[in-house]
Amino acid sequence: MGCSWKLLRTDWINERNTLYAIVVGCGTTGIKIAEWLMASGSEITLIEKIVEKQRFADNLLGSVVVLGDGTTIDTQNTAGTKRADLFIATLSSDEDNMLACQIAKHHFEVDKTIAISGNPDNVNLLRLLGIDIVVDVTDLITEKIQSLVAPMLVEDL
Amino acid sequence: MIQTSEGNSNSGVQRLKRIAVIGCGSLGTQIAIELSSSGNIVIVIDKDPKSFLSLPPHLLEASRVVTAIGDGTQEVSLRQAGVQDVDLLIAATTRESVNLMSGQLARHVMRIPVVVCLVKDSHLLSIYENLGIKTINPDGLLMEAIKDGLD
Repeated sequence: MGCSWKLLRTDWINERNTLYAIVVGCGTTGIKIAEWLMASGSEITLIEKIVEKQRFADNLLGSVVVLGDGTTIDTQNTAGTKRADLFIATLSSDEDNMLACQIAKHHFEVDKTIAISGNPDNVNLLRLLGIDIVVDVTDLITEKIQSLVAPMLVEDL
Repeated sequence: MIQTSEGNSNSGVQRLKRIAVIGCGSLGTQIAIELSSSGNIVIVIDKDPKSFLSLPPHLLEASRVVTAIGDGTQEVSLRQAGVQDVDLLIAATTRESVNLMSGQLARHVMRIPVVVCLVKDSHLLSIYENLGIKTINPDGLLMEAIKDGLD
């Protein structure tokens, strides 16, 4: 992974000089982000509800996956959200991502919360509700496809 | 915990309260029946049209209970259902996150005066209160009932 410390803002980082991140959801996105963060020298913990997915990711990444529902205070507590600098919710449901991020923000006082949103209608609402960064997946895919298709359209002319 | 119409004995004139309920499960149905029977207009919103079958036909016929198919977490659905001018919104779906999302949408975006959410996990209560949302917690109510029974 071509990433370095310089990519991460240093003012989030705790006194031990490593960024501690919690990633909720062991889907492809969650695992990719976790791999990238680990490669950049961060400490991470993942949270996954489904046993099979939890085992798979645990074997792949090396015992960093907590089994449980990331939208509950209990599980987030087990994962050590209290000392986290960064919280990323990558679940497929926007509502679950919002709840997970709001628990992290309001109960555990995490500095930065990031949520992924698959429904563009929810993006503004999530931003309004205090989630620091909302990633609009539909918008990203649309932009990517547009940038790939646009040159073809020009050639056709 | 849920304030319905205040008993106003002096004047016979009493404004009908408009109440929105998100989720037509067992709790949503119960709320709709109770509150519409005490003279309020209740709008029930659910994704699944089949869920409205549990509502008593006489209330639907008298337009005491109005049903709307839609997603309670989407502002468009809520507006289509006529939720913007209700006095009270109750989020009573089975999913905690859906309740919180529709509750916050209703309270902070649509500015509905009173919003009540069904919260199963009692640890979350303080978060909801900080966000300006009232809560119903079944475990808490059950405990109160048990304590009352012991006294």
